[in-house]
Amino acid sequence: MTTRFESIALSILFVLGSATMNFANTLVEQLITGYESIQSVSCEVRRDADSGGTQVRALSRVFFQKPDKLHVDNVTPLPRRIVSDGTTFFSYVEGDPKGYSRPISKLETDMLISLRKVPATAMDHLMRMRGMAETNLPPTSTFPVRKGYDTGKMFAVLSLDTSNRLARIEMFTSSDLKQAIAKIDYSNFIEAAPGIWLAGLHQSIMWMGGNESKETTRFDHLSINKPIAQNMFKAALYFSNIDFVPSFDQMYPQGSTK
Amino acid sequence: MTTLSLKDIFSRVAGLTFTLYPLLSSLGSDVTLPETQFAQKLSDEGNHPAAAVEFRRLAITSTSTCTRASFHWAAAYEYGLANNTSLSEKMLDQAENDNPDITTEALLLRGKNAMTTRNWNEAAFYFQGLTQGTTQPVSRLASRSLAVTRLHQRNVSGARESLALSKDDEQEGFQAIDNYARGSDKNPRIGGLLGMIPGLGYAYSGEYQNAARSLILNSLFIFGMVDTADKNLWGPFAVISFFEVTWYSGSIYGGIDAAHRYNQDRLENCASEITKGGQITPDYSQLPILRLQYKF
Repeated sequence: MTTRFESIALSILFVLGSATMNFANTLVEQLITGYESIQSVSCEVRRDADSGGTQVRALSRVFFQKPDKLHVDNVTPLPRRIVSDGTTFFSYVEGDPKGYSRPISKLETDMLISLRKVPATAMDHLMRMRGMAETNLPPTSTFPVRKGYDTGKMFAVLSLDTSNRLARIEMFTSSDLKQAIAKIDYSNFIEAAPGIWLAGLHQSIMWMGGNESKETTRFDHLSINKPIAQNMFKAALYFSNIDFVPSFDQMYPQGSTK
Repeated sequence: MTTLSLKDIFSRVAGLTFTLYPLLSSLGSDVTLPETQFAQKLSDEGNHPAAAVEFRRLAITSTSTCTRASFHWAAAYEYGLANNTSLSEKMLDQAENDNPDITTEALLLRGKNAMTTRNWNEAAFYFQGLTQGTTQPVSRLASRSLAVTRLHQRNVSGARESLALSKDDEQEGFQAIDNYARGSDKNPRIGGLLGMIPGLGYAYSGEYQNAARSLILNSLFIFGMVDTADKNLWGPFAVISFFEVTWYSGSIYGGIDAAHRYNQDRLENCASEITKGGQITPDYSQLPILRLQYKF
């Protein structure tokens, strides 16, 4: 009896172990691990969004350094500055009565992903696919490697181009790949380290509720793994006499116009 | 024998052209020189929208992405000259998508477009980026343009800092900024208040000819009003009064407007001393290679 129990337990352990190993070897994990060699990035970001005939251009300068240091200077449409010094996150929109600030350990998942994603990469999407089972999909002439991930809410497909670079992410309603929700194409690649690619151009299309919205993001003046002045991450230098609160509800109380 | 009308001939020639076009274009791998000369001719004639369309057509028919990018840039430049900045921006998007190495040239034009639409924050963003990591003459043009943009943002110290980024001798530009800082703007409210005394609003902003004109016209019409009232000529009085109200309100509005004009001229004079007429012009004879000429 004991032997039988042990063999079942061992089998379960083996299955779990192999599954874990499988997750660790997924394309998502490989890509994220590759980006770990990038310690700092500074760049200019131009994002053009077109949704329902409304066009919005966002321009910002980004200084990113691991771990958890970030400075984003949004010039337009809303002049906003984000500074994260490695322990605390600060965000302030010019003209607002208060700013938003929280210890990084208490940030919500989405904000944490925004803070930790390496600029000019697809990390914001990849981090949401971590730990999910991977499915091999048939290759195409343009994309010799294609992997699928069932996130529960949608089915994501990662496609590598002939140079082994993440060139496309597609999202579908289900694994039959019939109804697309979104498509993001990556191009204008820059090799940050051998085999590690940053994409200078991200072009995405989203289809929701019968509407199509497009977004083009360009990353210029990319500087990778070069020293960044530490003053960029000192919040006190950029926010004087600003009252910071830890929640958006406190920033914009009910009844306020914003 | 059938006779052909002018419309028939046109439609046949057009049909033949469209039929032969793919064949003709397939013979050469890319654009031929006479085709670019037509676009250049349109541009030289000042027909910038037509030149832009012609460059767009050349871009569409190009097989090489670099060539396509150059023509889209040229189309963007022509749309910019035609003050159609939204189409110019779309062409620049195409150019940058086709050739990422064209970014510097695209950002220069985007900065210019942003200045045209008086979107100073956006213009500053583009020019600031170009002041770093670029060589002469791009950095010089970018730093001067950034200084002008800062002036428009009412940031005189920022204008000085921007000009300091230029690797060139910018003594005259600094002098112009100092002179601008030493001077002062006219207050449009004071201009309007002074305008209640005909001519004085204009005089406040140094427009003495307009001041004299306003004073004379208002005096004449007030005299006319008084005279017709004295003589009980109420019909002519009403007509003269109507015109006098127009002249008098014009004097007040003119006082406000003159102050705005004064401030704008002061700023533009300073800006032109900083840029020294610096501008970029494409050398279309080099197309499909995009080559810019920097004139200072």
